[in-house]
Amino acid sequence: MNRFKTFYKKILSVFRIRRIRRSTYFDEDFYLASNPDVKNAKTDPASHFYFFGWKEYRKPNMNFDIEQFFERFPKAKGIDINPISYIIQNGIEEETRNLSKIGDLKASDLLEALFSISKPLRVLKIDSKDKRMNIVFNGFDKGGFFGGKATALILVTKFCKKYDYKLRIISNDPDKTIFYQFLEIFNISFNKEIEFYDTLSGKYLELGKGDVFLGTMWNNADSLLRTRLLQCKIFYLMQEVETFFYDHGDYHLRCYNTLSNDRIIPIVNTKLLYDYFAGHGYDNVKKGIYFEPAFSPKLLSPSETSFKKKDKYKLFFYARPGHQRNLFYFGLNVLNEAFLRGILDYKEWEVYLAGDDTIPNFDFDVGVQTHNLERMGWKEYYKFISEIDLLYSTIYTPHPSYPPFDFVRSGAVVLTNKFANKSDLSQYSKNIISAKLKEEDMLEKMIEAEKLVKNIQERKQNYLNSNIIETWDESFRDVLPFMLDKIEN
Amino acid sequence: MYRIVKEGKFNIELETPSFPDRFKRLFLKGVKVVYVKNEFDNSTFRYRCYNVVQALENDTDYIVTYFLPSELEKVSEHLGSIDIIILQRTLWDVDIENFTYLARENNIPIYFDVDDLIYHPRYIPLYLNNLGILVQNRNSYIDYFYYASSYYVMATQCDGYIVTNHYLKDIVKEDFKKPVEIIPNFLNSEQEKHSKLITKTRKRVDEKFIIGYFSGSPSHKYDLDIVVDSIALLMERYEDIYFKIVGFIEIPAKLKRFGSRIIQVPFISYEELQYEIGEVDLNIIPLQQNKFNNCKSELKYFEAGIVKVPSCCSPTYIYKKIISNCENGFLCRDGEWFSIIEKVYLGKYNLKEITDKAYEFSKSQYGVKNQKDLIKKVYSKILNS
Repeated sequence: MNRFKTFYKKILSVFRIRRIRRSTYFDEDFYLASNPDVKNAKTDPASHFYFFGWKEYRKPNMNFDIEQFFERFPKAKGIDINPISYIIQNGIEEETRNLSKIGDLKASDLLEALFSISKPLRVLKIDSKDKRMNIVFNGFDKGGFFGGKATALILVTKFCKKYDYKLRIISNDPDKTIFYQFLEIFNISFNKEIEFYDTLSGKYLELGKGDVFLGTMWNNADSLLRTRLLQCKIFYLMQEVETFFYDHGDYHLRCYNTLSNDRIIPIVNTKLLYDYFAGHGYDNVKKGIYFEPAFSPKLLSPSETSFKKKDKYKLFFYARPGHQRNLFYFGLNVLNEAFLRGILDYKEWEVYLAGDDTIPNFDFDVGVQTHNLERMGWKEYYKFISEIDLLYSTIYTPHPSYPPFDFVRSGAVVLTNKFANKSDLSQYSKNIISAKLKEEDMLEKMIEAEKLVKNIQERKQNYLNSNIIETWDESFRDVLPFMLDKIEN
Repeated sequence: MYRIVKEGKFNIELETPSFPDRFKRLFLKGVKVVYVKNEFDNSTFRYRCYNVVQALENDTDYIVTYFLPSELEKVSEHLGSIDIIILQRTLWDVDIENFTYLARENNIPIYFDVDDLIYHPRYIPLYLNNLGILVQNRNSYIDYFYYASSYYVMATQCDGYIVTNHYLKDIVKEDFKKPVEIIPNFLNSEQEKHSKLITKTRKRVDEKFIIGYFSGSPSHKYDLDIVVDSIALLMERYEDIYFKIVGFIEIPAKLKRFGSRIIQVPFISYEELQYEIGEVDLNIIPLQQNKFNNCKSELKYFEAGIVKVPSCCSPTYIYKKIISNCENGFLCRDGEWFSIIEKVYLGKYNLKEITDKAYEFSKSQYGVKNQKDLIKKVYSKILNS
């Protein structure tokens, strides 16, 4: 029966994709021109639209705005069918004539479609002086607990609490159930008013005189900059050199122009990243501020066995094949070589992998099995990392990233990489060893790391002497008054 | 889930006394207060006029009655016996215009009673956005601006205002620079009568836990959006949670997958509504945080409280004022809905005590018998202003 269903589904897909391709609602040239990733991937545009495009609100032709379509036909939303098939299936071609590809493609249509990721917000000016901090996310779901998004949320909750501001979280289809779980994890009490604004709801964003904004990714900062009615202060939490995400082309340039825009007030995560920007033509960061992130010993601490001799050591490979900047294959090679050359004795080490959902199952050439970890809850995660002896984690950017701090706080030794001005991270802890992004240098440092893991006394002493901030209050001590000062002056 | 024995027939239309019955009250002894309304509807008119008349029904100091514009010509023959005129959010009308002109000639104080932030065109954009009309066809705006202008023309001619809470009072005061009094919304005797029957016959028939949302109009999509994720997660996690929606509102896409666990009830009479509320375990009142909703009254809270159903409310001005969190109800900020409702469901609160307090509070604070003094005080202030 299931096989029949799968077969039927397949046939239905083929049939529907063909109908989409032939319909007056799908403009193949437009779709390819406005979605360079589809063009580069040499994917069939109609199939891409059928399987992914409509879910990502990509326009099938210049006149067809998916968001507006769902506003007009709310019944079509949530039933997992693409708008074109919905129109054909329900015979509403007459009512949707204005959505078909009529007329010639205009430059502005093309630009709008290409940069739909940073389109301006729809704003309604209202008569209100309420002080409100607005934080903009590209997505607000369960993945937002850790890392940069959590840092951004902690920043604004602290700000709102300290200066009696309301909080508004702006995102596409935000999951409203997770904010308070987040507060619980980070032990934050928050008694201010909080509201959510769904950018896909069609509702206008009400904007009073007391609204200020914080962008969290370049494209949402860009979207704020392009919202003409928004004349208030725009803070931008810089946590990555986001131009690295793109080829040296249009997106790269647009991203660069946003990051270096004079209107935004940068708040930079780590001095290392701040220094990188300052030294690479982003003069606007000089009027901003930086902070060092906090890693609470209440959440992260060594296990009972962390500083004891053992027969088997645990190595954690922060593996993210889906995120190029984490250099999965470079790491795979380094670790494979380390086992082959005996730097790591395969009889002594267990290897665990986690990072994203694209990690393949594999063994190292010497026969060491890898344990590919499932997604964990935050309590499990903290418990698990307290049992790790060595973290291997690389990131092809100038900031240290969070995993080294998490693991050092949990008693592990960390082997990570240097990049640009990120030459040495021992100022945070001598348990962090940094190597050049060269195979031989990394392997040399692996020897050091392996020794340090086993030198229990030194490892423990390094742990105790770590210089990592423990509370976010300390991290943001200067940032919060800085923000208030910028708002008021 | 609770089952309740229903008694009586229910009419969607409000039953009001005939014109002669209302007219003859002008000849009774006492201070005469006349309400004017364009039509005797079942929502605002009921709360602001019908219930007020009921509250002072047997009072010997004040005689209160109400009229339609078409009846005013006859009423104006007896202006000498009228002491106060209250235009209950009236749209401009030639009969009302003429009537108020004559009333002013007779030095009768005229007050404008308003319960929503829609009496001035400048509040209409906020109203349109709040209710999701701003994203519709532009032609649909016109009606709302017409209403607001029409109210405004009447409101500016008045000597003072009566509103439902302090938040709205401050705004109206700022707008008109004239006296503003407060008469909150409250229950009427029919609602109380049915509610008494409901609490008497209400019996738990199974373990289903029903969350109720009583919207009234289809325009509360954005309000409902506040809780949709939470409701979906609760229903996913606990199979005996059901969700009841009463009113014209469309079931959100994220909830459709729960099929028969979503109970939809069409628009019903206000008396029957009490029975629908009485069948649920928890009433939810999600509201967007803005000036418009801060002006709203607390009627959804006491309509539930009086049938011994506790409420979870967004912390708008009035709910922050009347609810002691976890004592006589629950205040849920955006994002807190899931955890609070889950705790209610899992029995982490003393729900019996909270429900009893909500009931006592609704009865004492919003029972029709307890409104007389407050209303008389307002009328007395109007006479002395």
